[in-house]
Amino acid sequence: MNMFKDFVLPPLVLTIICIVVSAALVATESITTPIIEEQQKAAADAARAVVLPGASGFELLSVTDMPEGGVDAYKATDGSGYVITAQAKGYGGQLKVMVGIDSNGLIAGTQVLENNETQGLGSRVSDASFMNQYVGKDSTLEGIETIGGVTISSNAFNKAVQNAYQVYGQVAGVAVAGNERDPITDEVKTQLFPDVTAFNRYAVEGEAYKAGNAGYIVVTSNAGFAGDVTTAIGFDLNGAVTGVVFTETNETDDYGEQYTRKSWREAQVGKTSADQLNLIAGATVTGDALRANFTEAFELLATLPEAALEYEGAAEGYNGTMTVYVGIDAAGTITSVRLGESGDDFVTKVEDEAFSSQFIGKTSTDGIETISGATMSSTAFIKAVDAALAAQKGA
Amino acid sequence: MKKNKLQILTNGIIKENPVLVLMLGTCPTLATTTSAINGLGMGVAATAVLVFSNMIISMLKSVIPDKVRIPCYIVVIAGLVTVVQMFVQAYAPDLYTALGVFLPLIVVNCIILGRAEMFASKNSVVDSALDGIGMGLGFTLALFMMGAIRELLGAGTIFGAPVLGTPISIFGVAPGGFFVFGCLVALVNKITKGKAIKKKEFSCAGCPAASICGQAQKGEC
Repeated sequence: MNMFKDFVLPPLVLTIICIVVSAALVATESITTPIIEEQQKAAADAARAVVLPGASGFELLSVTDMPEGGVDAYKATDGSGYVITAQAKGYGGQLKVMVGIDSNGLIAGTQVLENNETQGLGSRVSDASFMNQYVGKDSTLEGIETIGGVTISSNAFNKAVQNAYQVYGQVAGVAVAGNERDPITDEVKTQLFPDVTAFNRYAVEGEAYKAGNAGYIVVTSNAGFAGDVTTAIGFDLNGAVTGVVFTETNETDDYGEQYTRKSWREAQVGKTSADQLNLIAGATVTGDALRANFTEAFELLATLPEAALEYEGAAEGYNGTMTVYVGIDAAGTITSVRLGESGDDFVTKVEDEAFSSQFIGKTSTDGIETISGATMSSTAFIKAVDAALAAQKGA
Repeated sequence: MKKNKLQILTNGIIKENPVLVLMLGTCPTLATTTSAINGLGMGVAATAVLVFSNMIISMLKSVIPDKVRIPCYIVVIAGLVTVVQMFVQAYAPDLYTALGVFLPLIVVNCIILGRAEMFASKNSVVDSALDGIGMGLGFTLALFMMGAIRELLGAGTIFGAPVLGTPISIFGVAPGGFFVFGCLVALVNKITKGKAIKKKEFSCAGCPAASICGQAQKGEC
């Protein structure tokens, strides 16, 4: 038996081969890595330059507490704007959109990154004729027309752009139009409580109303199969469901749509927890959204008896009437202030924490300091809060 | 059994087609052939690696001790694939994007190990290179055919261009892959009148695990 040949040589050869191959890999990597990195950066920059023409280089921003739907945010190194990627749920999964926003806060360009929408229908949101509408728009996205027959995908695109603006608002430190849904209409409130005329909104996170002395309305929303499923749920004073109204739903006919039928809605009356819902087999996604809606609604409902109600106050501002919503608890203490409508130029200043936090915990507006440079607006805001306090006392 | 050069080259295409006759590399074959272009990409990339690995192993055949030959082959093949991958990524990024995950997957493609063991370790460098080209062509052809059939029937397109109206989507998923694979194997058997699979040359004795298994002499695996 040859010791060397049988026991030393095999591992030795293997080791040598490994060393040679590793050396070859190291050599190759040292040659190719800089080229690869350069190419990847150039490719990524080129992709971003498509939506923000004129910018040459970009740097990644770290966004703490990324708003919902935000993916990443880049700032042009020459300061010409931002490129933000955001997504929203479309018909075939997440629709990912890259949005270029210039230094004036207007859209410079959009690009669909991932589109799993139906070929020939939802895929049309990638068409120039649709996306070009967005160029030059600000965060309100006013005047965008959806593609006929492609509502869900168009809405998803719009939502993704709105989400991108939320990220923009955060990284650029500017105020942008919110993408919160509109409050429910009086019609919906009356549908739930036909005998009640006075509805008061609660000053809580989320949307909830006191329906006279008859009960409560809680509005919740969660992503369903095709966009958000928003429900307004009526509760009696004992916390049992009195009615359900779907204010926003695009669910598929005969699947998720079954939930919106009268028979299902009426079957939920009297339920006192989300676990008691009758869920329909075959419409799981919509069912999950509804369960989440009811769960959140019941959670919010539990806090309402202690919560402060919101009162509206108005005063003449620099440019038209300013409305302010003030949360005032039963003891008359201010718990929150929220700006409604105003045409003033510097109105975003009154939304600053430093100004608005002065009101919290007070029972009157004595000693509130106005903002220099926005005296008219801040004075109007204080007057509007006074009006809201008076409304609460009168109620 | 000395074969002439042309025979070595053409062997792999039908008579010893690695996928349809030798039944090697079934896993990547089924997984990557959802479209014609994917099958073609995988085939071309594997061919390139196969030619180089056959040549290198043929050169090293007298140096590598028998006991550690399999690990040696694997190290060489894996190193080669990684080098090729890095170069393609650096100098042909478009190709790299098109091949995607198939490039690194070549490491685990047993055709390459199989040919190293069955052919390159016993033949000259030139013959090994020719065998690599031939086998690569056979692999590419088989993958392209499977990909084309599955894309046509499963998605109604060829190279992404729409051809058929209503696709049979099961062809795009695993059962359809097995079905097309079986049909192609049957077709090759028909063409070669069943002779192809009877060749002893790549039977159990040719299996990389034959020496461990010890059943090859009995004619079973």
